[in-house]
Amino acid sequence: MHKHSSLSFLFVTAVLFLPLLATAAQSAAEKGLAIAIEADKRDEGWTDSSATMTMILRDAYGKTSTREMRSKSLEVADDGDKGLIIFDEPKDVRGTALLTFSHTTGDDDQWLYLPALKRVKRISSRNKTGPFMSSEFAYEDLGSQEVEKYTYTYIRDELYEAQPCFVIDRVPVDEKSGYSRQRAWIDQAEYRVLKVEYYDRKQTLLKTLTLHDYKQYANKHWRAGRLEMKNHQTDKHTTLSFAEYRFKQGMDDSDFNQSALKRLK
Amino acid sequence: MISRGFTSGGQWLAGCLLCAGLNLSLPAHSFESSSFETEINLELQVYTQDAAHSAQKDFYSGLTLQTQWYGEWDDGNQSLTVTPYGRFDADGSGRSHADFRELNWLGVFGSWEVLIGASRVFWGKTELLHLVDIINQTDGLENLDGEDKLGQPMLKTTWTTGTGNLQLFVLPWFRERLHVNEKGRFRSEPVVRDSRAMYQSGAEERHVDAAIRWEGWWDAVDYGVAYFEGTQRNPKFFPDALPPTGLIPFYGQLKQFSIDAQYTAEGWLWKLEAVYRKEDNSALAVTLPGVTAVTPATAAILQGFGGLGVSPGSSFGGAPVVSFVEDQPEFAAATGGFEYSFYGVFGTGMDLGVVGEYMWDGRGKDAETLFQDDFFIALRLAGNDINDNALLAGVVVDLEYKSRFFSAEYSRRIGNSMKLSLEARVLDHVATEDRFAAVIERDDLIQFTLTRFF
Repeated sequence: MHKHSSLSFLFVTAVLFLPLLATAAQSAAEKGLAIAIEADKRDEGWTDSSATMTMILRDAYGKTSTREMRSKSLEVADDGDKGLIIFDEPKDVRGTALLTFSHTTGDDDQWLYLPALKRVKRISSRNKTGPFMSSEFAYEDLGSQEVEKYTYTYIRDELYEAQPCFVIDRVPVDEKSGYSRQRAWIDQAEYRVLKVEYYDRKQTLLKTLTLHDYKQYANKHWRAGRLEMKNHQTDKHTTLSFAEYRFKQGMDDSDFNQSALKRLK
Repeated sequence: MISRGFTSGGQWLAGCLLCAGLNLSLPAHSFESSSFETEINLELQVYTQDAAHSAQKDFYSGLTLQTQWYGEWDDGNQSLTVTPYGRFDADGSGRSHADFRELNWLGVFGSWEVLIGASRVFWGKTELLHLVDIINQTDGLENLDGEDKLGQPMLKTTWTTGTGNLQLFVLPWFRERLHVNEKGRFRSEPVVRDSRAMYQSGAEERHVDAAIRWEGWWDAVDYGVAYFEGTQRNPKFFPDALPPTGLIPFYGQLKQFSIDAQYTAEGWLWKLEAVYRKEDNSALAVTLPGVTAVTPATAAILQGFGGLGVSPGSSFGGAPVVSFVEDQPEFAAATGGFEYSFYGVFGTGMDLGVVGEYMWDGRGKDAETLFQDDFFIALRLAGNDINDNALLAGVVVDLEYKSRFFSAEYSRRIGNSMKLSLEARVLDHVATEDRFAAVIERDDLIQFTLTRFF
């Protein structure tokens, strides 16, 4: 009886786990994608959000400069999200605003509002690698992170800051991206991105992003309060802090069009 | 309240008091959100060539002040914007003036938006010549680039859909263009007498103008289609006498149909603006001191003033009458070109942009514009560094007259609330027949501007 039972246990174990092991062995890509999809799914339903942003830029000599912005985002089903950033500091660019319709595939649509001329200008969204407000964040780092924008590979499980994490590599689909790949640490409990390493086109480590002070909103959506981006090649550093996060304020498409852009203050 | 008479000091003061009063009568706590922003410019101009006219100087200095007060309530659906602007010029060249760039109430009601008061509206796509842009009068006392505009009183209604918006304008008051006096640079000889302005419409500046515009986007194309009917923003000029002691502006009527479009593809922006205009300048029929007979010589002189003609006086045997030879011209004009950006040039974070635009006017040499058959090419270098160092250098070449107009602008931020700009403009190789370029031939300029933001 005892013998039989342990045999059947072995059998059951084998039946249950062999296919899983086989799957894992056969496709780290599938597991990487599954993690990305799960992370995306867990954050679905945030509808709309707004926040204030403060960036502190620090050069290699420790000299600092500050940028202040406000952001609004609208969740869009079946495509990339809509986003609006209004610049408050430095003061020579205050009132300037950037409207982005991101897309899961293909280029995003972007319009820039220039307050001195009251002009809305469609701009090329090709400048993914350029520095955002002369910070260490590139435009592509701050854009809507859609699942379809990368291909994924699961690397390993690892403890990071005492939290069990998935380590995955993601390779940008867009050949105009400044990165050959990104390595991300995602915590297994809540699927939050805790750290990202960015590798340049020459496969050299370019930047490291760490995300801190995560808070949960509406019992569901985790948002980092502070992002630290370190450029290893220039020794420059940017701290991006978010405050006054608000969700589900009833925004809709009419808050994200050219008419809305023109009335921003 | 925004009439040209407002430029006097007393009324300016009254305007300021009005602002202050508005501020007091609407205490801060009644607004859900409000902001107050100020910008002061210190401006120094050095003209590098001897002046063409004796009253002109080589060195000018001025100070400009703009503040914007904004308050909103009703969940941000209603707001007031008050933006007074003033220039104080040390040189008596007539550039000192004040204006409400904005003084309006805005209400948003679902997909409808209503604005009442003075405001600024921009139409168009191209960078150098804004052909389609017509709602606001150019502030002729500001930068030669014509991008400074006077606040236009309006009732504006906007209806927004998912793919664009429809704008309807009623413009109850016309703003005259202002010109510098004898002491100023960039002027005609003799100078323009703004106070003697004449109109096609009997209602003069009270003529109610109207406009409609659809502004939309479809995939990678942004476009606008518009119709405007009302007073011409660009005056025509006729002499006050022969020989002239001043030029008198004449504001005709205009019907303008326009299209503008931009196609955005990868790093390229392709742009086009085109207008079809039908003018009515038939009301100009004046007798001028010094014009006593219809002679070929008089006719030739008058023709040189932008298409004026002379005909015998009325049956009462009066003096010959001066009017436009072609008093109801219909014509087309267009401008178009490209903008291309190279990102991350020289192995740095810098961007290099190239802009090329061609300008054409169907009236050819008779056009009262600098840009009747001209090409513009410019390079723009953006440092994307902490101080936003930026350089823009370009040249406009008149393909017909071969005149060349060079312009370079450098700017950078100083700290978080100051900005420095340097601008140089050089007019070269001017043909005397290029009459609009010839009047400013000796006005090569270096301008230094320091801006402080509060």
